Amino acid sequence: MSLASLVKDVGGTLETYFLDGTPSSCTVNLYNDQGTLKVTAGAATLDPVSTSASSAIASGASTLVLTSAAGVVQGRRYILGALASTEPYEVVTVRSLSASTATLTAPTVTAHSSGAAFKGLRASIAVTSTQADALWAAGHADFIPASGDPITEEVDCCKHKIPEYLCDETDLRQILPKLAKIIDVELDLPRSLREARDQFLIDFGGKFRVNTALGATAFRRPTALRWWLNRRYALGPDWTDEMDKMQTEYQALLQHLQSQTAFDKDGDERTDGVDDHGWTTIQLDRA
Amino acid sequence: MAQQLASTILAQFATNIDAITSESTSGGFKGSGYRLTLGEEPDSAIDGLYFVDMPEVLTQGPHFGNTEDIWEAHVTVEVGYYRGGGDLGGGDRQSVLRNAASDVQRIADVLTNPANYAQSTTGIREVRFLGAERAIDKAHAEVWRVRFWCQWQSSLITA
Repeated sequence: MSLASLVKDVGGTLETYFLDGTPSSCTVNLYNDQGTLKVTAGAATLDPVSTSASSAIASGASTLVLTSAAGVVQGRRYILGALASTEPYEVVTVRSLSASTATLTAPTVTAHSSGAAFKGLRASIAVTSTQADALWAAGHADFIPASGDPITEEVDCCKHKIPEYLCDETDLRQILPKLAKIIDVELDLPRSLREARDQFLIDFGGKFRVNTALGATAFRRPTALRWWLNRRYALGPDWTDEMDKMQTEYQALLQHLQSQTAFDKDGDERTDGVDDHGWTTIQLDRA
Repeated sequence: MAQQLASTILAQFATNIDAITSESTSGGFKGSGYRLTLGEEPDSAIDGLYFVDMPEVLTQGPHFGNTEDIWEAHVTVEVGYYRGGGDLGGGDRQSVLRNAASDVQRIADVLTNPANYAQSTTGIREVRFLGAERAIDKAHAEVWRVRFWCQWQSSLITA
Protein backbone atom coordinates (compact mmCIF):
# COMPACT_ATOMS: atom_id res chain seq x y z
CA MET A 1 0.00 0.00 0.00
CA SER A 2 1.27 3.45 -0.78
CA LEU A 3 1.93 5.97 1.93
CA ALA A 4 -0.24 9.02 2.49
CA SER A 5 -3.25 7.25 1.06
CA LEU A 6 -6.01 9.13 2.92
CA VAL A 7 -7.05 12.74 2.59
CA LYS A 8 -8.74 14.60 5.44
CA ASP A 9 -12.51 15.04 4.90
CA VAL A 10 -12.23 13.08 1.65
CA GLY A 11 -11.14 9.57 2.61
CA GLY A 12 -9.42 7.13 0.31
CA THR A 13 -8.64 3.48 -0.28
CA LEU A 14 -6.36 1.31 1.84
CA GLU A 15 -4.90 -1.83 0.35
CA THR A 16 -2.47 -4.60 1.10
CA TYR A 17 -1.13 -7.72 -0.54
CA PHE A 18 -1.11 -10.93 1.45
CA LEU A 19 2.12 -12.87 1.35
CA ASP A 20 0.70 -16.31 1.96
CA GLY A 21 -2.33 -16.63 -0.26
CA THR A 22 -5.82 -15.23 -0.39
CA PRO A 23 -7.97 -15.73 2.72
CA SER A 24 -11.70 -16.39 2.55
CA SER A 25 -12.42 -13.06 4.27
CA CYS A 26 -10.62 -10.17 5.92
CA THR A 27 -11.51 -7.38 8.33
CA VAL A 28 -9.72 -4.09 8.83
CA ASN A 29 -9.12 -1.96 11.91
CA LEU A 30 -7.84 1.53 11.22
CA TYR A 31 -6.13 3.57 13.93
CA ASN A 32 -4.87 7.14 13.83
CA ASP A 33 -1.57 8.21 15.36
CA GLN A 34 -3.19 8.50 18.82
CA GLY A 35 -4.43 4.91 18.67
CA THR A 36 -8.03 5.98 18.17
CA LEU A 37 -10.08 3.55 16.12
CA LYS A 38 -11.35 5.14 12.95
CA VAL A 39 -12.61 1.99 11.26
CA THR A 40 -13.65 -0.98 13.35
CA ALA A 41 -13.72 -4.43 11.81
CA GLY A 42 -14.50 -3.09 8.35
CA ALA A 43 -14.99 -5.78 5.71
CA ALA A 44 -12.16 -5.72 3.17
CA THR A 45 -12.79 -6.40 -0.50
CA LEU A 46 -10.71 -9.36 -1.63
CA ASP A 47 -9.34 -9.74 -5.12
CA PRO A 48 -11.91 -12.06 -6.77
CA VAL A 49 -9.48 -13.64 -9.23
CA SER A 50 -9.37 -17.41 -8.71
CA THR A 51 -8.48 -19.20 -11.90
CA SER A 52 -5.78 -21.56 -13.13
CA ALA A 53 -3.13 -22.06 -15.77
CA SER A 54 -4.60 -23.80 -18.79
CA SER A 55 -1.28 -25.41 -19.78
CA ALA A 56 1.99 -26.36 -18.16
CA ILE A 57 4.38 -23.47 -17.44
CA ALA A 58 8.10 -23.96 -17.81
CA SER A 59 10.63 -22.44 -15.47
CA GLY A 60 11.67 -19.10 -16.95
CA ALA A 61 8.42 -18.58 -18.84
CA SER A 62 7.38 -14.96 -19.24
CA THR A 63 3.84 -15.63 -20.46
CA LEU A 64 1.11 -17.92 -19.22
CA VAL A 65 -2.32 -18.81 -20.53
CA LEU A 66 -5.14 -18.66 -18.00
CA THR A 67 -8.39 -20.58 -18.00
CA SER A 68 -10.07 -17.21 -17.55
CA ALA A 69 -8.57 -13.74 -17.33
CA ALA A 70 -11.74 -12.17 -15.93
CA GLY A 71 -10.88 -9.68 -13.22
CA VAL A 72 -7.11 -9.86 -13.77
CA VAL A 73 -5.64 -6.36 -13.61
CA GLN A 74 -2.43 -5.24 -15.23
CA GLY A 75 0.24 -4.38 -12.66
CA ARG A 76 -1.21 -6.44 -9.82
CA ARG A 77 0.44 -9.37 -8.08
CA TYR A 78 -0.99 -12.88 -8.11
CA ILE A 79 0.02 -16.14 -6.54
CA LEU A 80 0.74 -18.95 -8.99
CA GLY A 81 0.46 -22.39 -7.41
CA ALA A 82 -0.74 -22.84 -3.86
CA LEU A 83 0.73 -22.69 -0.42
CA ALA A 84 0.55 -25.89 1.65
CA SER A 85 0.10 -28.11 -1.37
CA THR A 86 2.32 -30.45 -3.35
CA GLU A 87 2.75 -27.77 -6.03
CA PRO A 88 5.44 -25.10 -5.95
CA TYR A 89 4.18 -21.55 -5.68
CA GLU A 90 5.45 -18.09 -6.42
CA VAL A 91 4.09 -14.59 -6.69
CA VAL A 92 4.07 -13.00 -10.14
CA THR A 93 3.15 -9.58 -11.50
CA VAL A 94 1.08 -9.20 -14.65
CA ARG A 95 2.73 -6.76 -17.03
CA SER A 96 0.07 -6.99 -19.73
CA LEU A 97 -2.93 -9.00 -20.84
CA SER A 98 -4.02 -10.18 -24.27
CA ALA A 99 -7.26 -12.16 -24.11
CA SER A 100 -6.44 -14.88 -21.60
CA THR A 101 -2.67 -14.72 -22.06
CA ALA A 102 -0.86 -12.86 -19.32
CA THR A 103 2.64 -11.52 -19.87
CA LEU A 104 4.59 -11.36 -16.64
CA THR A 105 6.95 -8.64 -15.52
CA ALA A 106 9.66 -11.23 -14.93
CA PRO A 107 10.03 -14.89 -15.91
CA THR A 108 8.79 -17.55 -13.53
CA VAL A 109 11.28 -18.97 -11.08
CA THR A 110 9.92 -22.52 -11.08
CA ALA A 111 7.90 -24.73 -13.41
CA HIS A 112 4.18 -25.18 -12.78
CA SER A 113 1.87 -27.89 -13.98
CA SER A 114 -1.23 -27.37 -16.07
CA GLY A 115 -4.10 -26.41 -13.79
CA ALA A 116 -1.89 -24.61 -11.27
CA ALA A 117 -3.96 -22.14 -9.25
CA PHE A 118 -3.73 -18.44 -10.10
CA LYS A 119 -5.26 -16.24 -7.41
CA GLY A 120 -5.36 -12.62 -6.41
CA LEU A 121 -3.60 -11.43 -3.24
CA ARG A 122 -4.99 -7.95 -2.87
CA ALA A 123 -7.31 -6.79 -0.11
CA SER A 124 -8.69 -3.26 -0.02
CA ILE A 125 -11.14 -1.12 1.90
CA ALA A 126 -12.66 2.29 1.21
CA VAL A 127 -12.37 4.82 4.03
CA THR A 128 -15.08 7.47 4.11
CA SER A 129 -14.69 11.22 4.53
CA THR A 130 -16.29 10.91 7.97
CA GLN A 131 -13.73 8.37 9.11
CA ALA A 132 -10.84 10.43 7.71
CA ASP A 133 -11.79 13.41 9.84
CA ALA A 134 -8.41 14.64 11.04
CA LEU A 135 -4.80 14.99 10.03
CA TRP A 136 -2.44 12.32 11.23
CA ALA A 137 0.87 10.74 10.33
CA ALA A 138 1.96 7.22 11.14
CA GLY A 139 -1.41 5.74 11.96
CA HIS A 140 -1.91 2.13 10.99
CA ALA A 141 -4.38 -0.32 9.52
CA ASP A 142 -4.53 -3.94 10.61
CA PHE A 143 -5.68 -6.29 7.87
CA ILE A 144 -6.86 -9.39 9.74
CA PRO A 145 -7.54 -12.39 7.50
CA ALA A 146 -9.76 -15.31 8.44
CA SER A 147 -6.66 -17.48 8.21
CA GLY A 148 -2.99 -16.70 7.89
CA ASP A 149 -0.88 -13.84 9.15
CA PRO A 150 -2.39 -10.36 9.68
CA ILE A 151 -0.70 -7.47 7.96
CA THR A 152 -0.26 -3.97 9.34
CA GLU A 153 0.12 -1.05 6.97
CA GLU A 154 1.20 2.50 7.81
CA VAL A 155 -1.54 5.06 7.15
CA ASP A 156 -1.31 8.84 6.89
CA CYS A 157 -4.29 11.13 6.61
CA CYS A 158 -3.10 14.19 4.71
CA LYS A 159 -4.24 17.69 4.11
CA HIS A 160 -3.68 17.39 0.38
CA LYS A 161 -3.73 14.38 -1.86
CA ILE A 162 -0.21 13.27 -2.71
CA PRO A 163 -0.31 11.62 -6.15
CA GLU A 164 0.41 7.90 -6.43
CA TYR A 165 3.29 8.77 -8.72
CA LEU A 166 5.55 11.66 -7.80
CA CYS A 167 7.74 11.32 -10.86
CA ASP A 168 7.62 9.60 -14.21
CA GLU A 169 10.01 8.31 -16.84
CA THR A 170 10.64 11.81 -18.16
CA ASP A 171 11.95 12.86 -14.75
CA LEU A 172 14.23 9.85 -14.65
CA ARG A 173 15.64 10.90 -18.03
CA GLN A 174 16.24 14.41 -16.72
CA ILE A 175 18.94 12.82 -14.58
CA LEU A 176 20.27 10.09 -16.89
CA PRO A 177 18.88 10.37 -20.42
CA LYS A 178 19.66 6.83 -21.60
CA LEU A 179 17.06 5.25 -19.33
CA ALA A 180 16.33 2.21 -21.49
CA LYS A 181 20.00 1.25 -21.66
CA ILE A 182 20.40 1.38 -17.91
CA ILE A 183 17.44 -0.62 -16.62
CA ASP A 184 16.71 -4.32 -16.85
CA VAL A 185 13.92 -6.06 -18.70
CA GLU A 186 12.58 -7.64 -15.52
CA LEU A 187 12.12 -4.33 -13.70
CA ASP A 188 8.52 -3.51 -12.81
CA LEU A 189 8.82 0.16 -13.71
CA PRO A 190 5.43 1.39 -12.42
CA ARG A 191 5.94 -0.38 -9.10
CA SER A 192 9.49 0.92 -8.84
CA LEU A 193 8.18 4.47 -9.34
CA ARG A 194 5.63 3.98 -6.56
CA GLU A 195 8.32 2.48 -4.35
CA ALA A 196 10.55 5.50 -4.94
CA ARG A 197 7.61 7.79 -4.08
CA ASP A 198 7.00 6.02 -0.79
CA GLN A 199 10.66 5.98 0.13
CA PHE A 200 10.97 9.67 -0.65
CA LEU A 201 7.94 10.39 1.53
CA ILE A 202 9.43 8.35 4.38
CA ASP A 203 12.68 10.31 4.04
CA PHE A 204 10.67 13.54 3.82
CA GLY A 205 9.02 12.81 7.15
CA GLY A 206 5.52 12.29 8.54
CA LYS A 207 4.67 15.88 9.42
CA PHE A 208 5.76 17.04 5.98
CA ARG A 209 3.80 14.27 4.28
CA VAL A 210 0.63 15.21 6.08
CA ASN A 211 0.92 18.97 5.83
CA THR A 212 2.84 19.30 2.64
CA ALA A 213 2.51 22.71 1.07
CA LEU A 214 4.94 22.44 -1.79
CA GLY A 215 3.48 21.36 -5.10
CA ALA A 216 4.06 17.98 -6.66
CA THR A 217 6.45 19.52 -9.18
CA ALA A 218 8.93 20.19 -6.40
CA PHE A 219 8.96 16.49 -5.56
CA ARG A 220 9.76 15.24 -9.03
CA ARG A 221 13.52 15.52 -8.92
CA PRO A 222 14.09 14.16 -5.40
CA THR A 223 11.78 11.25 -6.14
CA ALA A 224 13.60 10.58 -9.40
CA LEU A 225 16.92 10.67 -7.53
CA ARG A 226 15.48 8.24 -4.99
CA TRP A 227 14.45 5.98 -7.90
CA TRP A 228 17.97 5.96 -9.32
CA LEU A 229 19.45 5.32 -5.90
CA ASN A 230 17.21 2.25 -5.67
CA ARG A 231 18.94 0.87 -8.77
CA ARG A 232 22.28 0.90 -7.01
CA TYR A 233 22.49 -2.83 -6.50
CA ALA A 234 21.27 -3.70 -9.97
CA LEU A 235 23.79 -1.42 -11.62
CA GLY A 236 26.82 -2.65 -9.75
CA PRO A 237 30.28 -1.16 -9.21
CA ASP A 238 30.41 0.73 -12.53
CA TRP A 239 27.98 3.23 -11.02
CA THR A 240 29.49 3.65 -7.57
CA ASP A 241 30.79 7.18 -8.16
CA GLU A 242 27.56 8.44 -9.68
CA MET A 243 25.49 6.86 -6.92
CA ASP A 244 27.58 8.47 -4.21
CA LYS A 245 27.14 11.89 -5.82
CA MET A 246 23.45 11.26 -6.30
CA GLN A 247 23.08 10.33 -2.65
CA THR A 248 24.72 13.61 -1.65
CA GLU A 249 22.45 15.63 -3.92
CA TYR A 250 19.41 13.75 -2.68
CA GLN A 251 20.21 14.45 0.97
CA ALA A 252 20.82 18.13 0.26
CA LEU A 253 17.63 18.45 -1.76
CA LEU A 254 15.66 16.74 0.99
CA GLN A 255 16.96 19.21 3.56
CA HIS A 256 16.16 22.16 1.32
CA LEU A 257 12.62 20.93 0.84
CA GLN A 258 12.11 20.31 4.55
CA SER A 259 13.44 23.73 5.43
CA GLN A 260 11.08 25.44 2.99
CA THR A 261 7.93 23.42 3.56
CA ALA A 262 5.45 24.97 5.90
CA PHE A 263 3.25 22.68 7.93
CA ASP A 264 0.08 23.12 9.88
CA LYS A 265 0.44 21.08 13.03
CA ASP A 266 -2.78 22.27 14.65
CA GLY A 267 -4.78 21.70 11.48
CA ASP A 268 -6.36 25.14 11.41
CA GLU A 269 -5.59 25.66 7.73
CA ARG A 270 -2.97 28.23 8.67
CA THR A 271 0.75 27.80 9.13
CA ASP A 272 1.35 30.56 11.62
CA GLY A 273 0.39 28.76 14.82
CA VAL A 274 2.73 28.36 17.80
CA ASP A 275 3.70 24.84 16.87
CA ASP A 276 3.46 25.34 13.15
CA HIS A 277 6.51 25.58 11.01
CA GLY A 278 6.67 28.20 8.33
CA TRP A 279 8.93 30.89 7.08
CA THR A 280 8.59 34.61 6.95
CA THR A 281 10.09 37.09 4.56
CA ILE A 282 10.96 40.52 5.91
CA GLN A 283 11.81 43.39 3.63
CA LEU A 284 13.84 46.17 5.17
CA ASP A 285 13.70 49.53 3.42
CA ARG A 286 15.80 52.49 4.33
CA ALA A 287 15.01 56.09 3.70
CA MET B 1 47.00 15.65 -55.39
CA ALA B 2 47.64 12.79 -53.03
CA GLN B 3 46.66 14.83 -49.95
CA GLN B 4 43.41 15.79 -51.54
CA LEU B 5 42.82 12.16 -52.32
CA ALA B 6 43.40 11.17 -48.70
CA SER B 7 40.43 13.25 -47.60
CA THR B 8 38.44 11.72 -50.44
CA ILE B 9 39.31 8.26 -49.13
CA LEU B 10 38.12 9.19 -45.63
CA ALA B 11 34.94 10.67 -47.05
CA GLN B 12 34.26 7.47 -48.98
CA PHE B 13 34.73 5.41 -45.82
CA ALA B 14 32.27 7.69 -44.06
CA THR B 15 29.75 7.42 -46.90
CA ASN B 16 29.86 3.64 -46.64
CA ILE B 17 29.52 3.62 -42.86
CA ASP B 18 26.54 5.98 -43.05
CA ALA B 19 24.73 3.30 -45.04
CA ILE B 20 25.26 0.58 -42.42
CA THR B 21 22.53 -0.32 -39.96
CA SER B 22 23.95 -1.00 -36.53
CA GLU B 23 22.84 -3.93 -34.38
CA SER B 24 22.62 -1.47 -31.51
CA THR B 25 19.36 0.32 -30.73
CA SER B 26 20.89 3.50 -32.08
CA GLY B 27 19.98 1.98 -35.46
CA GLY B 28 22.77 3.49 -37.46
CA PHE B 29 26.05 5.29 -37.10
CA LYS B 30 26.43 9.01 -37.07
CA GLY B 31 29.71 10.66 -37.91
CA SER B 32 31.35 12.56 -35.11
CA GLY B 33 31.33 16.13 -36.31
CA TYR B 34 34.76 17.13 -35.08
CA ARG B 35 38.15 15.59 -34.69
CA LEU B 36 37.89 14.50 -31.08
CA THR B 37 38.70 11.10 -29.74
CA LEU B 38 35.44 9.29 -29.21
CA GLY B 39 36.54 8.25 -25.76
CA GLU B 40 36.41 11.88 -24.70
CA GLU B 41 32.74 12.20 -25.57
CA PRO B 42 30.25 12.29 -22.69
CA ASP B 43 29.14 8.74 -21.98
CA SER B 44 25.55 9.29 -22.97
CA ALA B 45 26.46 11.01 -26.24
CA ILE B 46 28.83 8.39 -27.54
CA ASP B 47 26.23 5.83 -28.56
CA GLY B 48 26.20 5.30 -32.31
CA LEU B 49 28.94 7.83 -33.08
CA TYR B 50 31.82 6.95 -35.39
CA PHE B 51 35.02 8.60 -36.49
CA VAL B 52 37.25 7.71 -39.44
CA ASP B 53 40.92 8.48 -39.16
CA MET B 54 44.12 7.88 -41.08
CA PRO B 55 46.76 7.44 -38.39
CA GLU B 56 49.58 6.39 -40.71
CA VAL B 57 50.46 6.87 -44.38
CA LEU B 58 52.78 4.14 -45.59
CA THR B 59 55.07 4.06 -48.62
CA GLN B 60 54.11 5.99 -51.68
CA GLY B 61 55.66 6.58 -55.06
CA PRO B 62 55.52 5.82 -58.76
CA HIS B 63 55.20 2.06 -58.45
CA PHE B 64 55.03 1.30 -62.15
CA GLY B 65 57.21 3.90 -63.71
CA ASN B 66 54.63 6.41 -64.82
CA THR B 67 53.98 9.75 -63.23
CA GLU B 68 51.09 8.59 -61.09
CA ASP B 69 51.61 7.88 -57.43
CA ILE B 70 50.22 4.88 -55.62
CA TRP B 71 49.49 5.60 -51.98
CA GLU B 72 49.07 3.25 -49.09
CA ALA B 73 47.75 4.08 -45.64
CA HIS B 74 46.23 2.64 -42.53
CA VAL B 75 42.68 3.75 -41.92
CA THR B 76 40.82 3.25 -38.66
CA VAL B 77 37.13 3.38 -37.97
CA GLU B 78 36.06 3.90 -34.36
CA VAL B 79 32.50 3.32 -33.23
CA GLY B 80 31.07 4.18 -29.82
CA TYR B 81 28.55 2.39 -27.63
CA TYR B 82 26.83 3.53 -24.46
CA ARG B 83 26.86 0.79 -21.84
CA GLY B 84 24.44 1.77 -19.12
CA GLY B 85 24.31 -1.71 -17.67
CA GLY B 86 20.67 -2.69 -18.25
CA ASP B 87 19.50 -5.22 -20.79
CA LEU B 88 16.16 -3.56 -21.61
CA GLY B 89 17.70 -1.42 -24.35
CA GLY B 90 20.82 -3.49 -24.93
CA GLY B 91 23.00 -1.50 -22.57
CA ASP B 92 24.51 -4.43 -20.70
CA ARG B 93 28.02 -5.70 -21.33
CA GLN B 94 26.85 -8.79 -23.12
CA SER B 95 24.59 -6.91 -25.53
CA VAL B 96 27.20 -4.28 -26.28
CA LEU B 97 29.80 -6.96 -26.91
CA ARG B 98 27.45 -8.86 -29.19
CA ASN B 99 26.35 -5.76 -31.08
CA ALA B 100 29.89 -4.46 -31.48
CA ALA B 101 31.16 -7.81 -32.71
CA SER B 102 28.42 -7.89 -35.32
CA ASP B 103 28.90 -4.24 -36.28
CA VAL B 104 32.64 -4.49 -36.85
CA GLN B 105 32.05 -7.43 -39.18
CA ARG B 106 29.54 -5.39 -41.14
CA ILE B 107 31.92 -2.46 -41.32
CA ALA B 108 34.71 -4.73 -42.49
CA ASP B 109 32.53 -6.40 -45.10
CA VAL B 110 31.14 -3.16 -46.49
CA LEU B 111 34.41 -1.28 -46.63
CA THR B 112 36.43 -4.08 -48.19
CA ASN B 113 33.87 -4.77 -50.91
CA PRO B 114 35.22 -3.35 -54.24
CA ALA B 115 31.68 -2.49 -55.23
CA ASN B 116 31.78 0.17 -52.51
CA TYR B 117 35.14 1.72 -53.45
CA ALA B 118 33.65 4.33 -55.79
CA GLN B 119 36.88 3.84 -57.67
CA SER B 120 36.19 6.34 -60.43
CA THR B 121 36.02 9.19 -57.91
CA THR B 122 38.29 7.97 -55.12
CA GLY B 123 40.94 5.96 -56.94
CA ILE B 124 40.80 3.20 -54.33
CA ARG B 125 42.57 0.06 -55.58
CA GLU B 126 42.09 -2.09 -52.55
CA VAL B 127 40.94 -2.05 -48.93
CA ARG B 128 42.05 -4.87 -46.64
CA PHE B 129 40.63 -5.61 -43.23
CA LEU B 130 43.42 -5.86 -40.65
CA GLY B 131 41.52 -6.46 -37.44
CA ALA B 132 39.19 -5.07 -34.81
CA GLU B 133 39.39 -4.63 -31.07
CA ARG B 134 37.86 -2.75 -28.19
CA ALA B 135 39.99 0.35 -28.00
CA ILE B 136 38.44 2.01 -24.94
CA ASP B 137 36.50 0.50 -22.05
CA LYS B 138 35.02 3.24 -19.89
CA ALA B 139 32.66 2.83 -16.99
CA HIS B 140 29.57 3.39 -19.16
CA ALA B 141 30.87 3.34 -22.70
CA GLU B 142 33.00 1.36 -25.12
CA VAL B 143 34.84 2.37 -28.26
CA TRP B 144 35.61 -0.28 -30.84
CA ARG B 145 38.27 0.25 -33.50
CA VAL B 146 38.32 -1.44 -36.91
CA ARG B 147 41.64 -1.24 -38.78
CA PHE B 148 42.16 -1.30 -42.54
CA TRP B 149 44.98 -1.09 -45.03
CA CYS B 150 44.03 0.98 -48.06
CA GLN B 151 45.77 1.58 -51.38
CA TRP B 152 44.69 4.15 -53.94
CA GLN B 153 45.99 5.57 -57.21
CA SER B 154 45.09 8.91 -58.71
CA SER B 155 45.16 7.65 -62.28
CA LEU B 156 42.16 5.46 -61.57
CA ILE B 157 39.99 8.54 -61.19
CA THR B 158 38.00 8.96 -64.33
CA ALA B 159 34.96 10.88 -63.12
